[in-house]
Amino acid sequence: MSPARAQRIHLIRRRAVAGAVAVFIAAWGVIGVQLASGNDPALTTPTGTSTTTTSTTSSDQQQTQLTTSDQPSQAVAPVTTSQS
Amino acid sequence: VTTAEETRLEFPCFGGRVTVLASDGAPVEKARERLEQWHRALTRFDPASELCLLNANPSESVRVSAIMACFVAAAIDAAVRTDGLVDPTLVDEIERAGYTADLGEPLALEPAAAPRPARPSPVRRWLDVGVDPLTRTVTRPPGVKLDSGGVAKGLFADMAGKILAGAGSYAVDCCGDVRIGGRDGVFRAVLVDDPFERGAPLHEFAIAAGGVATSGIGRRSWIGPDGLRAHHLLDPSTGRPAHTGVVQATAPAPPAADAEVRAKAALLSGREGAREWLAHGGVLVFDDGSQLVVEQP
Repeated sequence: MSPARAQRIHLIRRRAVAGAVAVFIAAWGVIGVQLASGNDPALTTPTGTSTTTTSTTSSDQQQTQLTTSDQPSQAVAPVTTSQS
Repeated sequence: VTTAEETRLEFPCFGGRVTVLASDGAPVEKARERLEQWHRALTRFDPASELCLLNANPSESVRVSAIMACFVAAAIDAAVRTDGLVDPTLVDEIERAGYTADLGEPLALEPAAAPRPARPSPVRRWLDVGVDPLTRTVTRPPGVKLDSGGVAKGLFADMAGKILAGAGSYAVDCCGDVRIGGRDGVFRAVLVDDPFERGAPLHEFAIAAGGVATSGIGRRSWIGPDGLRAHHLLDPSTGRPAHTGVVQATAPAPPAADAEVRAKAALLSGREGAREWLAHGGVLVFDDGSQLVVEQP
């Protein structure tokens, strides 16, 4: 196989992978918006809903930060984490 | 930082209590509606729930709702990240152990007679489960059933948090799996409950954004059909309740779904292996009543 052809195949493969990743992210994005708005066609919606946009669930772990401190604020109520 | 007064909602859900707190008129009722809707879809105790219908469906591929697709993706992710230690396919095993309905009063905690770390199942059924987000289709061999108990509450806390993201401050507590956030970046105290009920919280985190979850064997416990003590956290390698010497594990992590997986994996890994799952710190409670606070590196 010529170097040019190999390079072209490599380029096509990269584009295919990039396209697949983009489609995957877009699909989870649609699902995330559906869930936030309550517009899940496979579930019965109990009452009227308003809409809120949101980021995708699948990318949540990459986007979310854990921000901690040694000193909690007194301005908000504490919560308790207990075993469920 | 001073914040506006928060609205607080408490209601029964997921077999326990859920608390939603948010300031600035954030849509707490909407969060409640969604949480209750997701609970109805994913409960294992209603034959008409989407989860039960999926588990009973004889087809290999089943089109599902968005929340089910998200749950299955999270369940697969939990199994992959823990190499099967947190296994979402142990439905038959948990039912054989006697957990077939909401439970009554839990049993008192006791030291394990022969503690040992849990291990992944060699069968690894979770490897055969897949979800296609494009078509919202779940694929698995017929007969492989999924249990929402392992990862759903953390996922739901995260998703309800998205609904409240416009608030200055908010917290969603799904039976111990907590998501915290808000525009103002206020550090909220998160108290770790003592499973031995000795009065004071075991530890206090201060979190402005992120999740924290606690997993334990004290609350959902019962006497099994064999007359032995049972609880809902199974050793995948035996299909029996795990007695690892750790009775409660608490883990903070960026999303609550990740925290829940870390807490469960820590408990199942036993005294020696638990710490490796607490990358963001955490609290371990052992069956002799002692505790270990793991500092965030």
